[in-house]
Amino acid sequence: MTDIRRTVLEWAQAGRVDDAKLAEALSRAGVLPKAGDWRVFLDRLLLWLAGTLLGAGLIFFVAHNWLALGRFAKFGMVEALLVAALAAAWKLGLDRNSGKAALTGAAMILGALLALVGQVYQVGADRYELFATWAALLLPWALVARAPNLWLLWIVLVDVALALYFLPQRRFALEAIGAPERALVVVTLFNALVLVAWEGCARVGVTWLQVRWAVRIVAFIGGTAATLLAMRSTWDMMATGPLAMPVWIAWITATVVAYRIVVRDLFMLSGAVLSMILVATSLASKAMSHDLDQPGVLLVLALLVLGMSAAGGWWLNHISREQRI
Amino acid sequence: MSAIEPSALWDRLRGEGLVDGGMPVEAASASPWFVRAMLGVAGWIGAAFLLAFVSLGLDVDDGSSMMFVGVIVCAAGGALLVLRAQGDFASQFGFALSLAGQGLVLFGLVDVFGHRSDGAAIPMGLFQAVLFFAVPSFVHRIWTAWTGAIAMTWLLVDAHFTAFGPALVAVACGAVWLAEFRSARRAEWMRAGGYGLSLALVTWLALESWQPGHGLPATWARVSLADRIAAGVLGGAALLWVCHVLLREQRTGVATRWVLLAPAAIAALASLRAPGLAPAFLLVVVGFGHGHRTLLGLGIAAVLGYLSAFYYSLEATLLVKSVWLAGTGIALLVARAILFRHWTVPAARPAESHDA
Repeated sequence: MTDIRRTVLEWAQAGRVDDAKLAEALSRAGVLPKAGDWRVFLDRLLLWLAGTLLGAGLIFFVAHNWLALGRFAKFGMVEALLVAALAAAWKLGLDRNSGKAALTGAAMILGALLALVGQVYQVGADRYELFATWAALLLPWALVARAPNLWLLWIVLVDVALALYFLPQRRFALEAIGAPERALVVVTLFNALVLVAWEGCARVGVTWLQVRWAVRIVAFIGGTAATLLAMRSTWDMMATGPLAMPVWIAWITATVVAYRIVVRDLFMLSGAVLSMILVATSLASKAMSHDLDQPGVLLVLALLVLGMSAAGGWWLNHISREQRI
Repeated sequence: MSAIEPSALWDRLRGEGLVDGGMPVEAASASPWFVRAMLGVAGWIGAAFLLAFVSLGLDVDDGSSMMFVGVIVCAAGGALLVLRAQGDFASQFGFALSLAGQGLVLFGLVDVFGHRSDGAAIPMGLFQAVLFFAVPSFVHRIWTAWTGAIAMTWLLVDAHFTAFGPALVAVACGAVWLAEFRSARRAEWMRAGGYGLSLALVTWLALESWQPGHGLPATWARVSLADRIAAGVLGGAALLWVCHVLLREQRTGVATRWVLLAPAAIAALASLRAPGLAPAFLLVVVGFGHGHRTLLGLGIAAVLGYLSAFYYSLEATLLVKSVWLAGTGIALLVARAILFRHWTVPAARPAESHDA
């Protein structure tokens, strides 16, 4: 529909659709909603908004009274929510999107329950154990549900658990750039294995795995880890070790070959191009690090980045046109 | 509908008397969004290096010199975007130059006006407005509309009117989106301006959740309850106005229109204590009404993001906020039940719903 919208607006800009008839043309093209569409939209929007606001109100209420609640009341509330979500998933059926959404909600509540256990009993477990346990308990649900979003949640949980395992004393989000090499290598390799398995299953006909948005998120996580690893390696190879750059090179090579020839996904190739630009810029900056306060060096780096991005953009647009023919 | 070929669409429109003649030759398709995003990220990095080069190379150390050099650099970037709009390298270089120049102008203004944000805000906003009209690049227009709106509304900070930021931007955003289809030639300007203002609105909603001391001036927190309520009224009025206009464009009857405005009125009332709700809802309604899936998604994300930020707001206790939100949710459910008992328009099949 985005293409239809753009097409009609391009015709209008070319003067082929009068100003007075533009809205009507868009309506006839199905871009603008009709009265029946508004009814469906308002029905769903009001239901979704009401549910969201009621849910938020409930969360705020519980948070306000949290300290006054006893441990059994706290566990009772969370477990009641979990049971309700599972009951909804069972009643709606896992073949329907609403059933899968209910199971996804149950998966989130499961994490909250585990966090509550850790908070109430102060068991002294490391943070990675929370995410590892959550992922382990979630695995059977993911296998049963056959839902890409649930598998994606499971993959993210495993990534977080792996990263936290190697970052026991640091705040995870803020120090990702300084993460030890092993964490980034493990996350990269895990996501690479997931990608191979996912794409393989999709190609042999597992239809529910053929959605592209989920596998692209997996590739984004793995590619980000690989790119950070390579960039860190250019500045401190002693810290990252000798494996960093070979891992990144292997990731990029595999991505370009797989998604240019085998699967043909321009999103993946765009990510690979950006990764190459970032690492090349990092290498160039390192090579000229002694003169980074010289204006000429900064100009060279700017032109290098712009040139690489233009070349990358030309290549990607060439592939895009090729795929449309 | 999403699968219709352009030629079939042209024939349909011609049959309805909305177009005539042969179908226009198809222009070269734009790159996919992720290719443009990749180019955008690289452009930012290039602009940062360019800004450093210009600052060090020209040894500009006072505000006036920075502004002068910044204007020259912007002009060079704009010229590239005008003359070589189709070339990837030229457009990237031109965009990066313009970003670097805008950065220099901003640094120069801050140097000249010191910590008076109102002093720098107006000239920066006007400068961005000039760039918006002068440089014919869609992405560049989105950027200048976004930053220009932030600059102009930053005047509210020193005046202690920060609560009005989202509401004022929502009014402007609604006005621009509603005018999107009034002129075919200006539709692209309106879209760029609309996207820029939508991003500015989301930025303001995000800033609402920050606490002073974390990079924001201390005046941020000095917002009275009366101001918050007034801002909520303004945001709610903007939402009602946009809904009214969209329904009028649908040629709904007056009585039906007032019934359909009831949920919007409930959302507007909710904004009296949660001022960011109505502006976020506005994005959702405009996104659907104009067939903008991206805008619709941005609006939904804005609603969820604002609710998350509202949790940390110190303006009321969690108990008060929970009652307010739950009450609004119940009111919406009641409105939905009453609305669809009396609204007799046949529901469209979900497959026919617009699928922007």
